[in-house]
Formats: sequence, C-alpha cells, structure tokens
Amino acid sequence: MSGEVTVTGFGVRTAFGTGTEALRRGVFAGVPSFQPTTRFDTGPYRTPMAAAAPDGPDAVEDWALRHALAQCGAEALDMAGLRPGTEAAVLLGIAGDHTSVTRYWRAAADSPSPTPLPDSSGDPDGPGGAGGSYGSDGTTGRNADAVPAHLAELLAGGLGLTGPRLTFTNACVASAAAIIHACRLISSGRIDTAVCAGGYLVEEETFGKFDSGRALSRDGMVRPFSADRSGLLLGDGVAAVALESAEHARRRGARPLTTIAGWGAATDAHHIAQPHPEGVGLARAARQALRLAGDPDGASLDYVNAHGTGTKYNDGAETRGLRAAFPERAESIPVSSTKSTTGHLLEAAGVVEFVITMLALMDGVLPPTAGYGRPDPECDLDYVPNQPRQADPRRALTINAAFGGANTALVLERP
Amino acid sequence: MTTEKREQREQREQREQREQAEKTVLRSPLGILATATATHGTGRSEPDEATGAHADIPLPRLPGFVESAFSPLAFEVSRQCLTEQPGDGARTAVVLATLMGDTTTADLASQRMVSGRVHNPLLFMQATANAVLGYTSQEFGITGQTFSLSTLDDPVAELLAMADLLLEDPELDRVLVLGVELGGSERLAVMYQVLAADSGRPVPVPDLPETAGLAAAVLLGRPGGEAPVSVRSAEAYDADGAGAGGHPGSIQGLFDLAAAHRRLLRDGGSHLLVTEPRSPAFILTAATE
Repeated sequence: MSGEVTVTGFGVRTAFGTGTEALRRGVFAGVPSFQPTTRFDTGPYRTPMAAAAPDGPDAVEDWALRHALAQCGAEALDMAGLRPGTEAAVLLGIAGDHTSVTRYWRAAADSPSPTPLPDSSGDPDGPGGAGGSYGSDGTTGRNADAVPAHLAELLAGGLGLTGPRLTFTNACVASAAAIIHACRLISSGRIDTAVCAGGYLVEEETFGKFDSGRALSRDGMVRPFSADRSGLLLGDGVAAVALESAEHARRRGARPLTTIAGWGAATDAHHIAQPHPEGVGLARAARQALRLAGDPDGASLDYVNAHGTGTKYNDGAETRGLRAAFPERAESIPVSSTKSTTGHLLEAAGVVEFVITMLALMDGVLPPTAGYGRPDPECDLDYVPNQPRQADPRRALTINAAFGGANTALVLERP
Repeated sequence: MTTEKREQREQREQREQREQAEKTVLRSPLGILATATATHGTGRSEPDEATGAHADIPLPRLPGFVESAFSPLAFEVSRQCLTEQPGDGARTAVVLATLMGDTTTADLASQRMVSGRVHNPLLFMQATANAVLGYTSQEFGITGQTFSLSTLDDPVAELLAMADLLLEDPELDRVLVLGVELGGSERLAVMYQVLAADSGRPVPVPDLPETAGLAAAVLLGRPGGEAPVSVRSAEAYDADGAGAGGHPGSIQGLFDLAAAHRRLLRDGGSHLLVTEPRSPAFILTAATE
C-alpha cells in the first residue's frame, strides 16, 4: 500500500433522524426504531414493521433518495472542509430509487392513455416533460432515478465534484464495495479524494420481495445472534463519507477522524441467496483486511460490527466465519449487530455501519445488539447484548455480506 | 437562462473536463485470455461474417432464474470464457457492468405488485445482479471478489480500469468482466429520455425488442503465454472517426473488443478500439506482431 487512507468527514441519516446525535440516542443506546410503517399499505404483507422514519407533509421531497444523498454528501464535504470544484471521485452503493418504478407502473395501470415521452425542451419536470400525464405530483423527472448510475451523477453534480463516478449495485455489500474501491484508488495513488455514499429508503417494491421470501421478522423485532430470532426488518439509511489520502489531508490541514487500515472482499461460491454455512467467504474477506492492516491474527481488534441480519441462516454462519478468521481472538472480541436498531439498510448497510463503527472508535462506546433474548448454541461469541458498553477501542472491523455470496471487510483505526 | 439550466450546463462542462482528464485508464497492459458474446431475441438467425456477430441463442436454463434473459445470458458468456480458459477460482475476480440491471424482472415484479398479485419469491431472489454472480461462482468455484456496477460512462473503459486495479492485488491473477443489456418496456424509453435531458446530449434509445438481451464477457490477466493478445491504453488518437457513440450503458464496445480479439488471434496485428468519441481508447496487439 503506497498511501494511507483516512476519513475526514461524514453525513448520516437513519430512521432515528439526521446526524450523529440521532445515532447516539438510538443505535448507541440500544433503542430499536421499528414501528408500523405508513409509507404504503402493509395490509397484504405478513408484518407492517420497518425502521422507516415517520412521513411528514414534505415526505416526497424530504425522503426522495436523491435528496437524502445530497444532504449527507454535503454534510460529509462540509465536515471535511472540501469545497465544490474539488477533484474527488464519487462512488455510490445503491440499487436505484425503486419508488420511481412503482410510481411509473401504478400510473400506467391507472391511466387509459399510453405513456407520453418527453418533449424536446429537455426539462423533465416541466410541462410536457418526461412522463407527461404521469407527473401530476411533480416527480416525473425522477423516472431515471431508478438508474443507479444516474444517482451518482446527480450526487456528484450537486456537490460540484469533478472526479470519476462509479456506482456499485451488489446488494448488501454495495456501499462497502464502494469504500473498498475508493481505498484501492487512493492507496495506489490514482486519486487523492473520494466521496463514498450509499442509500436505501424503505419502499414497497423491496418490502414485498422480502416478505415473499419470508425473510421478515415475525415479532416486529430484529434479534441478531439470539435463539429467538425470526428474521430481518428493513430500515431507512443514507450516509456519505469523505475519504482522502493521509498526505492530502495533511496538506490541507484536515483532521483525520479514522484511518482505514485494511480491506478485503471474497465470494462464498456456495449459493445464490444463502451464505456459506461455515462463513467461508466472510472469513476470507476478514483475513484479507487484517493482513493488509498488518495484523493477520486480529490481535489488535477491539470490536466487530457484524452483518448480523437476525436471520436463521446468517447469524450462525457469520459466527463460524468470525471464529475461522481469528480463531485465537474470536471469543474475546465484542461483536454487535446494529441492524437490531437500524434495521437492514441493504445497499446502504456498508456505509452506515462504517459510520457507526467509526463513532464507536471516536466515542469509546460499543453499540449493543438490541433485542437479544436467549443464547443460541450456534452463536457463542460476546454480542454486547442489549446495553452499550464503555470501552477504549483503537481498531475495529466492520463486515457485510450479500446475495450471491459476496462478502466485504474493512478495518478502521483511531488515529 | 434559468439557474437550473446554468447548473446543468456547468455539470456538463465539468463532466467533459473530467472525461478529457481520464483518457489514460490503464497503468499496465492487460492480457486477453478469452472473450465471448451472446444475443437472444434480437432477430439475428445467422452469424454476421462482416462483424463476427453470432446468431441469437436460446436461453440456457438456470435453476431458479425465470422470465428474464438477464441472468441466463450473463451466465452463458461467463461459462464460455471460464470453460475455454479454466483457472484458479480463488485467484479470479468477476465484475459485471449493467446500466439498469435486470429491468425485465424489476418491471414484472412491480407490475404484479401494483395489480395486487402476490410477489413471486423467485423474482425476489433474482432481482439483484449479484444472484447470477453467485450462481456462476458456485459453478466454477470462484471465491475471489465479485462486483456489479452501473455506469453511464463507457463500460469497456470502466471494466478494463477495474481489472487493471484488481490485478494489482497480489491475491488475484484473473478478472472476468462482463456486460449485460436488455431490451425493454416503454419505461426504459422514458428513462433514456430523462437521461438525455440531464446530459444535454442526444441519447439514442436502444433499438432492441422488449424480450431481447445482449451479453459479452472478457477474461483478463496480465499479458503472457496464455494471453497472446494484449490491451493497453492509447494515449493519443484521432477521435474524429469515432462516430457519435451509443446510448448510455451500451455494451457494444465489449462486442467490438471481442470481435477485434477474434480477428487478431486469426490474423495478428493490432487494433485501435475507440468505443465513444470522448471515452478512453485502447490498443489491442497480437503477440506475433
């Protein structure tokens, strides 16, 4: 590695609200944010529960993915002291804004007229713009927000950043993959600065798919690693982090919040939707990250932010994967799943949990695994059950896993 | 001029400056180990000798993947490359580029939902491009890294740059890159029109039947014995003859690369690959030259 990678700014938004204080009041206090969502009719589904912020009168604007990304990106730049016009890559982990797909087909089903195409004015929100009669709510210009790469362009353009843009779409590791890609670009000297972001906001398309896959919790809680766990619940999450080379940050006089000491990614080669039962890919990704961090045995690790979905398949496999990654240390390292309070943030999980892990290092507080009930013999590590823990962590690992057997790992270090 | 229009113009100018600055994307040459292309439903019943394009294929059956050509085509081109050049799956990465993903599945699931029908669990599973990468990795024992990307820029340049970066990792020696593009519904046409408005450039809508699909794959390593054709960045070239470029996310460049690879294996020599006027260009060279 030729260049150290540091984090100099971030912005974050979850169902708890915007910013770090909201995370401290929720995630770090072990308070779940699940409630029946009113964002859509949950009648057809097995549960109404999600970690979705209550919708206010400005919900369409306020909770459009493009706006939430812009808000978090601006906060990250502001904290980092980076200005518009900066040559910075924009790397996004996102699947697109599914609400635009729903809106399109709902309008098509309701409208007797064929879909009008935009006029030549080039103004998709203007009269006669794209979607035409489907756009009475002023959102027709967002048809293309379903295109993941388009959201990266909007974010970069809105922030005034002039570097390369790339969007990762690989499900629940997408934003972690974006951060890993930024680390590679920066450490190899290709770029100095990157803004990495991810976003998912609870909506019916994905909610219905997870319901059909019987993946959602039956008791309205997410109980990772607990014997009484019954599944995941979805949650709102958007975050952005400003990454730069240590040298670039030093030249600017920027204060590094965290160093990214190592990263890794690996695939299970096991199943299209289920994790490898022994957590093989997860262990491999973690070992890669630790080797790069100069600590192949995990001797310096003080905390692990687990993927911990609260599903039957994931949590046992993840426990075995952690044991395989650092067999001598696994039982002595606190491990928690913050999905127990935030819900599963899908493509945004990597970057939001990265921010949570960074806060744990900065504040000296380990966020708990909320909703933890009875111990499961399959899950036999220290999961920081239900209550936050004061600590003095210097190094932490955050891991994620996704459909298709993709796994990522990032090692963060307090400066 | 409104503030919004001015901002759009400024964004375009910034983007063009950025594209100019990124003309050189590969630090080191790459070796082409294998290429494969496949089409379905385009109406081509015979191979095209002029372009080297194959005839349409029937979709291979993949357990658990239904309704859409996306995953079967992605698997088919991957299979061809990985079968032609078997290697160590632990040292192989896979990167899939697709602008809009599996829109057939997304539209089908959405239409079912808005009409009040129950969701199909199979559509849940195959809705992310990761699912077929998982299937491919399982079939070929690939435990290296797998990524899926969406890019408005030329996917050839993005994929080759990604392979160049990944091959600097000492734990990898091969990267399979692939692109998939589907024909689609009128929703896709609307999305292309919005993209055109936002970019300020004419954006042609892909001329593909709704059920059609295209896929192309390239297996890359560093140049050497198993890779008689190498590819490197072209630092300067005449962009005048490069044509108008395709629609965002077009994988035609991957088809061009595969065709050039086949020709160089047969005839030797070199080939300048320019996929879009403002995109980076590449030089493919046969080792026998």
